[in-house]
Amino acid sequence: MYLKILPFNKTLLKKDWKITKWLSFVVAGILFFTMTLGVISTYNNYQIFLKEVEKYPERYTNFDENEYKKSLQQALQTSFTRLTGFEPNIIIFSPMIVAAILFGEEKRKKTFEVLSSMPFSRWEIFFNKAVIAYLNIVLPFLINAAIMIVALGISKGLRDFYSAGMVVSWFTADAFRLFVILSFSLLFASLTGTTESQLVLTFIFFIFPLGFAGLVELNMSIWGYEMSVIHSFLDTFGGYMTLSVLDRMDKIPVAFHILSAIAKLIASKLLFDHNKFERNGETLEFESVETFFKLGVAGCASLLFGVIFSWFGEGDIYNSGSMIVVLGYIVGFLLGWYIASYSIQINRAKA
Amino acid sequence: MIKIKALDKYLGGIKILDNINIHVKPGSIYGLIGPNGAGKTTLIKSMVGIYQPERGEVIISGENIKDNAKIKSRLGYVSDYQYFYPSFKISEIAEFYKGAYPHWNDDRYVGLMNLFKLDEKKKIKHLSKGMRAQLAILLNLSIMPEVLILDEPTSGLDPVVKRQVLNLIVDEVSSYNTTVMISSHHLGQLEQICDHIGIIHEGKIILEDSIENLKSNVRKIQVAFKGELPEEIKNNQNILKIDSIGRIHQMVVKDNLEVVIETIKKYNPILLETIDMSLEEIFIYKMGGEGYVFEDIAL
Repeated sequence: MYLKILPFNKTLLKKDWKITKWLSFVVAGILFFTMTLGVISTYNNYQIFLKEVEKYPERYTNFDENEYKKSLQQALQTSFTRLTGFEPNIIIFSPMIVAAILFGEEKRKKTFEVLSSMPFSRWEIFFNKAVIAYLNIVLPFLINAAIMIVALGISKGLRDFYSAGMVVSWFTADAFRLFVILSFSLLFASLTGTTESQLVLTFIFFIFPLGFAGLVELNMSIWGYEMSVIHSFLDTFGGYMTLSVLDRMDKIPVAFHILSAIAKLIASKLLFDHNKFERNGETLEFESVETFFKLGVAGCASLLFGVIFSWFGEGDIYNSGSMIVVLGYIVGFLLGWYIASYSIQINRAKA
Repeated sequence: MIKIKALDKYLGGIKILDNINIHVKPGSIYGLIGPNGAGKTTLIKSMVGIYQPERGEVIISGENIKDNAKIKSRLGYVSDYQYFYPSFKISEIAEFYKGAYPHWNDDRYVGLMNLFKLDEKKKIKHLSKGMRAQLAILLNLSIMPEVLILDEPTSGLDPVVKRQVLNLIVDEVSSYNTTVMISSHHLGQLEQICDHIGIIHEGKIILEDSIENLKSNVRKIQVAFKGELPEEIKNNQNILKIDSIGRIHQMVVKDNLEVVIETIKKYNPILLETIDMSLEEIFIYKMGGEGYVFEDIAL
């Protein structure tokens, strides 16, 4: 057997890079125009503004150069330490999209079938895809970090506004976030059989803690119950969800997220080993989770329709009547069950 | 070289392959014949490691194919529809195969590219179905396979290229002693190149034999007498079927051809000749006797 402990395979790496590189360059471009360009032109803009003040002092009578400089420094510090502008979208969606191209698309186009008849082990296929996926999403940040550091070397004035250390810690934090979200995306890549179901389910479960808690909260309020329990639950456990890497990194140890991401990667690999290629193109790779999926969709739809039906009244059972809300639950459950079953049936593999 | 033992495969809870047993000798061409939906593609995908069978095993060159990269490096597979990366150029796909298969032969690749007149710079998405099939065949021959498995390789090809491909396969076997399994729903096409055939119907191999055996066991005789057809001949147990047009009678004879000819000669026929039967005709008589209707199985 050709199985190795770390099965780097140049052929697979090249192939996976070739099909995903466009994403890396697009993201690098977006990041450059939405963040890097603003950062590296700070000093330039600062100088232009100072000239403007010099030229028209009457317009800026209360202008304080130090205060202005300080505000620019703070703004840059914020953009390096917190997710701002377009950056959160890139952090959330680039891992999901790259995982969908490398897994969902290969399943949809049935190129996985070709790969599995070639002299590659499943471990090799999975490992090299995971490596390229991570490189692909980290590269735009690396390129932009490099540009920002090179700009520091070229322009001495920029050094008053940010340092190489700030750029490195910005890059490290985002590389960590991307790793966590990629591991989550790969888990769904191994669970689903089409690009669409992979993208939709990854995103739904990514926001699920918030979305589901929100639905429960709304339903409780319809029936007149207090929802502080949900707030305290989210407060306590919300930080442990994948979603929290976007915001609450200070509250939960980074090690927890790293270990959790490694566990998800291992689970993804084990699930991928058990993927049956005849189910490629189906909504879910495993028949055993179909009932759970249908119940999940039906349950959420039921809660959602309970809320929607309550709007026929004033948003609570006293005005709309409990029967209306219960009817909403039933309609939602049946509709959710039907939609989930339909999406499974429509993609069912044929002999 | 290829041994399939007691293979069962289910798809969507339905048994698609039922206790398949096949043995393909080294350096021979095995034709797998069956109508659409008979289980040919499922069997082939189970053989090359795409599908995992629920029961049974596929042994190639003495080793189980399952997760066996070493065996797969000498296994060529041409699928019924060529699933390539559409954005890749032909040269890039060739580079990918070259990196994956350790026995890749550049000279052979260049020779076959010239033969098929394909443009290396063309992207896969711009190739016609026939060109894709040609590409799949040339790539899988360039890897210098010990075993070559082809699923309907000539479907979508024009007659000239079809002939070219079939000749290439025969050449491959004679030059490199490659073991070939080829599937088709056209008996006539495989008759010209196969040593053995297996007929698959509703997931079961219902007939498996060498072409030589099949042809020697069932023959056709054309005979004419001055008078009526003698009763002894009409009632001969070895004659499966008699078609008469005027005084000329065509008989399908199963086994004991010499005995039948001796019997005919006793009645001084004015015409007596044996005619070779096509595989299609043999199949009709052979399977018809076992309750299968030819049209259901092989068209």
